[in-house]
Amino acid sequence: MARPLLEVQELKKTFPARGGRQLRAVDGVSFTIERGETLGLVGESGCGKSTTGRTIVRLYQPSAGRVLFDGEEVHSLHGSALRRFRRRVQMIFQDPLASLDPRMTVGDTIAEGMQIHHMGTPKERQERVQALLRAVGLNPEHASRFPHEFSGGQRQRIGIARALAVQPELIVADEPISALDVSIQAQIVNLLERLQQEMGLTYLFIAHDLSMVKHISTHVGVMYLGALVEIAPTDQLYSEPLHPYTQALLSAAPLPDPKVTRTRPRVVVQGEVPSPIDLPSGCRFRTRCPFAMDICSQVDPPLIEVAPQRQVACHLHAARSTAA
Amino acid sequence: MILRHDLPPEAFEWVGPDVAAREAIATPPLSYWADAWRRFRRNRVALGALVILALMVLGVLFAPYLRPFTFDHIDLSAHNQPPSAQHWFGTDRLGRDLFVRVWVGGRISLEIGLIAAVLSLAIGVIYGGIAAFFGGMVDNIMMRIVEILYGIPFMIVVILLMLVLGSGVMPIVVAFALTGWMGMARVVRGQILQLRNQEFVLAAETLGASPAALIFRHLIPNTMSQIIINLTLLIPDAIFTEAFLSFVGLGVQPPVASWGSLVSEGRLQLMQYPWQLLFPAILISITILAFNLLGDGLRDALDPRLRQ
Ligand SMILES: Nc1ncnc2c1ncn2[C@@H]1O[C@H](COP(=O)(O)OP(=O)(O)OP(=O)(O)O)[C@@H](O)[C@H]1O
Ligand SMILES: [Mg+2]
Repeated sequence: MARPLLEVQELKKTFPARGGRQLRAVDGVSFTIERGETLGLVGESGCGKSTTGRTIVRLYQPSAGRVLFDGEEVHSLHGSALRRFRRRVQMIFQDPLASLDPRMTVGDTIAEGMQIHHMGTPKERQERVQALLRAVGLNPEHASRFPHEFSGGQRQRIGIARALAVQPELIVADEPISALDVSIQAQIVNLLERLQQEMGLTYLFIAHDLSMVKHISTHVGVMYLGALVEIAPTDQLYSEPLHPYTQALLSAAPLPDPKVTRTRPRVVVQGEVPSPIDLPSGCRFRTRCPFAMDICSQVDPPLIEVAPQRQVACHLHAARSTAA
Repeated sequence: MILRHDLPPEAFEWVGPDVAAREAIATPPLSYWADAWRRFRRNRVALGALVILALMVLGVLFAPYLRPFTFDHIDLSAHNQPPSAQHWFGTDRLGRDLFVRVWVGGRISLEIGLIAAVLSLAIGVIYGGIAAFFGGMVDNIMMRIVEILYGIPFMIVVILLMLVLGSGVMPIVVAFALTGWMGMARVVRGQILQLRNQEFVLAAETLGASPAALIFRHLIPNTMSQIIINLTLLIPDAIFTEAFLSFVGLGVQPPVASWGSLVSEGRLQLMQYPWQLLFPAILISITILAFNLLGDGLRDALDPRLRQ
């Protein structure tokens, strides 16, 4: 089997917090993404999704663990290898307005990456900007406009065009649709899906809600307080969620089919998310888990494979481990 | 409204949604600066201040040549004259033409104000930019240094510099630049710290932009409005500082004149010949007022969020 495009191994990222303490934003996350696939990464606000994404694209240095892109360790790249990485991996951001420089025209914004990587002559770059604007469904004449003149959905299309301009292979999309109207969300997801097929892109698609990633993802990972608690192929995760937290997230999400809604397990979590500075002992979800047992406060359950392609970090499923 | 029921279905034609029209933007493209200029132009007071300052610059450049005197031409037979057709602003106690002296003095005052402010700006932008961009320990140490320097009284800096550089224009400019940059550094640092983690800067970093490209293409242009506003407040501050130093005798030395030294000389004969103090005092007040009004106008135009 060919090596995966992206491999994240035991990634940790801590931020210094008040009083010399550590905020564990990402606490030992591992996953792989195969070329052409989409991993949907889901979790509540503050669980470390953005930090994971930003560490992968090397906006942050990891505190521990490694990220391999196409077999190369991302955080030890330098020189021309780093430049190549900067071209091959791009990011789309959550806030469509904040992600565009207010002082630059849309055309200059989209052309910036091509300029940095010396792609084409100025004339060719200009033509490519027009083509990209067309590809994301915008009027090519808008290249001379400024970001504040566009709607939220249009701005996100500009951000997508900027990322595409350097012909990347992996795109980390950090909640690209969360700030948009529901009616616009589907348009952007469809656009990303179409572009993926046309250009053979690989996505890490971050969202805070399971319903947003169902359509586009081949696999879905669920994060809770800096850790992956479950990762599975999309249809299996939705039809048979294993981790109580995944079950809770699904219980909260409306489904189009009321029969399924009625028959699926109802899991309701109580209480607040603990602070990432003060993680609970043992399993990080136990304080809110309706099925918590004695062992949960003593041993942090590792993410283990319980069935082919299905990994979950929960003592309830430890017995099913294929490794055991 | 009249409802027509007699139209046959064939009379209607399905035109479909016009996607192009929906996406079209009606207004012409407007850059940030064009938009700011549009807002600025509507502000009569600020526009007036700008015109006055432009006239003031033209005045110090050309007005002295309207009269057949030089600023240091002494004519003791015509001393302490009131304003007349010959001497428009009168003469001083050595018979020097005050109209010429006021405008030549303004040249020095504006020059000092401009050079001192631009020097402070350069130091402040570079210092604040470096502190904010590299952050962490670098930022911590650099800002501690600023806090310590803030504590040194301005007059001590001036007097020490005069010991080294002698009196005159140079020590004033240097003293002001050495003290005036700190406010600018704080403004620039605050703004860049805020911008540093904005998504558009992260996006440029993800595209592979170098630190220099990030600073000069994204961070500084987005700090420009604050820099300009701060500059329009630094200039009158420097002009006023020069006037004050010249007034207390630490500034420019005769026969060279500045607004400050002219006021200082006029003060000696205020009771007998009040115009000797009046004309330079009026020009200095108008200039400082105009700069402050211009600064307010620019703030409103460049940073609409700040307007209450
Ligand atoms: N630069 C930083 N410095 C300090 N703490 C940070 C920093 N960035 C993130 N954090 C903290 O790390 C934790 C994870 O943040 P992160 O932004 O990754 O969450 P998220 O899952 O993306 O949430 P959201 O859905 O709100 O975007 C949060 O507790 C946050 O406060
Ligand atoms: Mg986030």
